[in-house]
Amino acid sequence: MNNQAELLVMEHISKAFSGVQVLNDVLLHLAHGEVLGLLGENGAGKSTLMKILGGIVEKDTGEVRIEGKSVKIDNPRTAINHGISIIHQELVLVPELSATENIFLGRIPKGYIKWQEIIKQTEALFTEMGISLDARMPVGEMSIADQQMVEIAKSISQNAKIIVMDEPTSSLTERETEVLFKMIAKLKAKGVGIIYISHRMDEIFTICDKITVLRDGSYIDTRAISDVTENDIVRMMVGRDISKFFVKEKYHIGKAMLKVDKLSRNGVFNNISFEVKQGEVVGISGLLGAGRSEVAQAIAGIDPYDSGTLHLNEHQINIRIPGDAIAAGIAYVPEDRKQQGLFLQRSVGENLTIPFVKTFSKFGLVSRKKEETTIASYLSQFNVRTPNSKIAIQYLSGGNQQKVLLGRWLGTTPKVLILDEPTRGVDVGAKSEIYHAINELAKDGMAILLISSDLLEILSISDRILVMHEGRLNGEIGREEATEEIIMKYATGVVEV
Amino acid sequence: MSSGAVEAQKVVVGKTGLRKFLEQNVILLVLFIMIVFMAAISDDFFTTDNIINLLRQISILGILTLGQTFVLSAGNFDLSVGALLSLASILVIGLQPELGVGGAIAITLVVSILVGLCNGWLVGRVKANSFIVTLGMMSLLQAAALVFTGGMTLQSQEPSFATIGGGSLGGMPYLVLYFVIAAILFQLLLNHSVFGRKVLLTGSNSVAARFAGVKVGNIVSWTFVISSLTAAFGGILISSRIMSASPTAGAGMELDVISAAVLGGTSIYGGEGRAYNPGAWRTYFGDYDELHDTDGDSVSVSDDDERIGLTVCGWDRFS
Amino acid sequence: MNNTKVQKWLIDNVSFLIFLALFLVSSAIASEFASFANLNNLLMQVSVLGIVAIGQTIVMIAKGFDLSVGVVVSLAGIVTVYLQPYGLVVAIVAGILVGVVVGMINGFAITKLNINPLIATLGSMTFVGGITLGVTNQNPVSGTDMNFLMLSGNILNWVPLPFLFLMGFLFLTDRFLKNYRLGRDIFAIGGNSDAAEYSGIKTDRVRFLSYVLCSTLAAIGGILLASLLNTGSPIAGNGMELATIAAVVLGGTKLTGGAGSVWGTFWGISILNILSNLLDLTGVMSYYQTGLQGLVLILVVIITTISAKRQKNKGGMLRTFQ
Repeated sequence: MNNQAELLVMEHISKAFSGVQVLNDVLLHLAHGEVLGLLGENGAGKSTLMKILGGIVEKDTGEVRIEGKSVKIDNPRTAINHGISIIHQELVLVPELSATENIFLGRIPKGYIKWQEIIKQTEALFTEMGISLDARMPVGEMSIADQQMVEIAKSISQNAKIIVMDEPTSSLTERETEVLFKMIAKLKAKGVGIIYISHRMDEIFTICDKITVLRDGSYIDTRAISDVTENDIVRMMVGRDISKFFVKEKYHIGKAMLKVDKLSRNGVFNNISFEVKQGEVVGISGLLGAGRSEVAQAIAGIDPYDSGTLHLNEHQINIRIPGDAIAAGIAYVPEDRKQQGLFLQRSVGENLTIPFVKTFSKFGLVSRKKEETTIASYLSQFNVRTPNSKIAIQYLSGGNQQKVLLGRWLGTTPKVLILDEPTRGVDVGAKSEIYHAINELAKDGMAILLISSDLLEILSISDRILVMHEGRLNGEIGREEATEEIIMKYATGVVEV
Repeated sequence: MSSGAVEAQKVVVGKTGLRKFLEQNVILLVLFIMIVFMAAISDDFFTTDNIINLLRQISILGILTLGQTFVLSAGNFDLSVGALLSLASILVIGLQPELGVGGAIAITLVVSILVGLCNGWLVGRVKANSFIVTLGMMSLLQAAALVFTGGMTLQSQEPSFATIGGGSLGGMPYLVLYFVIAAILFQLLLNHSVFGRKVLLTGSNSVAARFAGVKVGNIVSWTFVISSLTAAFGGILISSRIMSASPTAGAGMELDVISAAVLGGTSIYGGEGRAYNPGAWRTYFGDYDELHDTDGDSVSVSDDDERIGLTVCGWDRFS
Repeated sequence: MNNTKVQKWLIDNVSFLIFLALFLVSSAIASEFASFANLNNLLMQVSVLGIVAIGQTIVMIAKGFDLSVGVVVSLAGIVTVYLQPYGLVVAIVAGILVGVVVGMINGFAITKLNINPLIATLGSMTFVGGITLGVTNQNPVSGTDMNFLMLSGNILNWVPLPFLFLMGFLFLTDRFLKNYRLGRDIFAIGGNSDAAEYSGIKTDRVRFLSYVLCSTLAAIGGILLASLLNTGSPIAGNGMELATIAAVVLGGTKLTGGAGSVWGTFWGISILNILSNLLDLTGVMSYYQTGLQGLVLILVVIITTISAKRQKNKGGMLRTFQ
């Protein structure tokens, strides 16, 4: 079957979301019976490219050819009809329905459904795959690993020629991963082409035939796996010109301000201990799902923790709700600006002052005059570009929104500032302003904890870098010896501590 | 300057001064046109009697609408207000023989606070769907009102009770004064107080509010207590004005109240609300009823109009 | 059968079991309960509400709500009675069309204009309700064609014909929901609309049809009720939206969509009716009936909310796609 035209070619693919170019002239080749590793940092454009292939997102320009024929994929249905099946990182199943039904979702024949027959088909499929699952069990009652198997069974039963697996092992145990790899080998033997997205180097070297690397929405290179080393791949993924970026100055580092001791939350993070000193910026790096934000949110009182203690300025503190953390002097600027930070329809001013609006009030009534003075001073301090403080914050750019949120949390006069992905979706100009603000704060003795997936950012403004891997701390790197390669090695688990 | 800021500038520059004001206060414009229209076609419209009568009619519904505005602003519904109004109007008369006027009023208010706390606890703490919870509460309260009276209408034997809702000050009925005072107070509370700020931001994004240290559960509970109190107050006023109470006095009122609040500029998705506008809206409806009354026509036209209004407004606002 | 299986069966059939217990208790404490007249009366009451509740079940499985069923019941009945002079068939078809049209309006508002189902159907409830009151000038209209009454007569002098209709619709809808593609798609969009969409299901179309089906069934219920009363009353369906939602929730359909059954709803309706019947027979005032419905609704919503939270915290639960 290999003398046919190449299984899948995606050429000159470009896509912009509201003016931001997420994919720029990207290229991808996949042959029959081949496993292609699609690699890149978070936000490099892998997911968008695969959503275009799956008909969930429409491309702006470019061409998709399957077995030599140019195809138009404009909705999930046509993608399925062309033999494309996508296993999303966040599984897409209907929890209330049985494994059988999820496998045949959207493809149930017209007319009276004879479930016995379909269940038999499913059971045969499971036997063929070598897994033992109850075909009648609602998938919501299954473990994540079993749900993953149901997704794979769904792809197989669709007679997919192209299967995309987006971080399929992120929630699997080692044994389950082995089962998955055997399955992939079987599919390969049948001539199915697989696009495999993963951050785990060991896996990529185990099962991929070649790799394609994306960076910042652009195509970097495609190489046979035998031609590259781990270090090559990491360099392809992160290689950028560092010199033009901001480098934090080092200031006097004082006594320990925040001390986290053996903090654990079952199944999320385990035994996390570290401290942040006055005037110090501590970066936390790690892959998606490593548990970074979860640790920060436990410290900020948003999620509970099961065990461990927190000390602030040498006093033990007990934090149950966000108000406790704010009162104690811990401010958390959340990762997901839209969901967790902004009140989109409300004014810039209201967004700025909410945690400390009480300070402008007398008998519960807000003094607009006092509030307005404070708002004005923050807006000018952070150089927020807005026509006035009354307009709804949704009309501001991402960078200006983020500066308002930074102002909000500094208004609570915190001793510890936790920044979770502070520059995600922020343009270069605002980015450097935010870095300068962090710099100034550290100079004034603030203890800062910085969570970021942007390695360059972590490297340029942290005094010390902690790396998390699968819910635990896997390495602490001083500023001097830190490089992108070393961080990636800790984060991907290539080096274990 | 980043492109976002330029965009923002455009948005704002495009909507300055009068135009912006009118866009946000369309309902006032409608009201104004309605008044001019009424005055033109009906000679009786601009008589003092008619205006006062009209204001009296809208007052009680207006007070309930003020309370509902808080619940809606925090992103929930309160469908139990109509039934609570019925129950309150029954209690405040039914308890008079044993407790006297003051005691009856006190117990009525306490009952309404309990109802509000119950709704608030279920929605704010248990996080149950406010629509279903208050729908259930509505039938519970309706049943309570019917059981209390056995379906009968009650008469008050305490002449002193009549002044609360029936009295007037210099020709201006107390009812209207209550409404005006309540509208001013509630506007102050919703748009100028720390509490109101928290209500609006909770309705805009409850997750972000929690992250910002707002005790979302408590805020939601308070909005239901406020709504219940206005319903009880409305019930007391109705009873006092006609010195009798029917167990179905408030049936169906929840819908009027919600549509009035929505048309007054409160978003049912929370995060937007104004207390003074619902008042304006009620006035508009009051106008309409009044016109037909003075012309000896049926009032059902205005009912239809309100219904159409709600539907149209829904399309405009929620699409 | 092992222990867990027994447990599961008990949980799955809890509404039937409550019904059974209530039935036995009622027969024991009220001697008239098991009488022919009372049972016949009960079957009749269950029938109309049951047919309307079937539609509500469909919509709620698809994670929706329909508050307009009550006014559709009223308007369909009125239209059918009004048009009797043009022949019964015309009148009945027109009555059913009322349901189809209202359902299409609801479906359009919800899928194309993206209006929250509660608001959209609340809007059509007030709008259609207004039309109903306007058309009748708030007065009931009486039927003129005696043949119309046969629709609600007794078969073999024992079973009311509407009850047979109910059984027929229950059976058909149950099959439809379990064994036909559209029925399964309704479950899929209720359980996880994104998953359905990504699997190639036209979710908007399915959601639209669920509202049309619901309103159509409500119209049929309204026609049967009008036949029973020989009257088209503008308030005939008042409160049915609440009663049917209570019955659906009581019958085990999840408020969050994706699970439920029409037989569960039938037992839910039966429970509510037997309860009020029992209260009637034992001399308790009929007002308790609404109160009881309210109480049941609140209790069920508490239980489902808490159990949903538990499941979410249990881990191993499906992560939803964002």
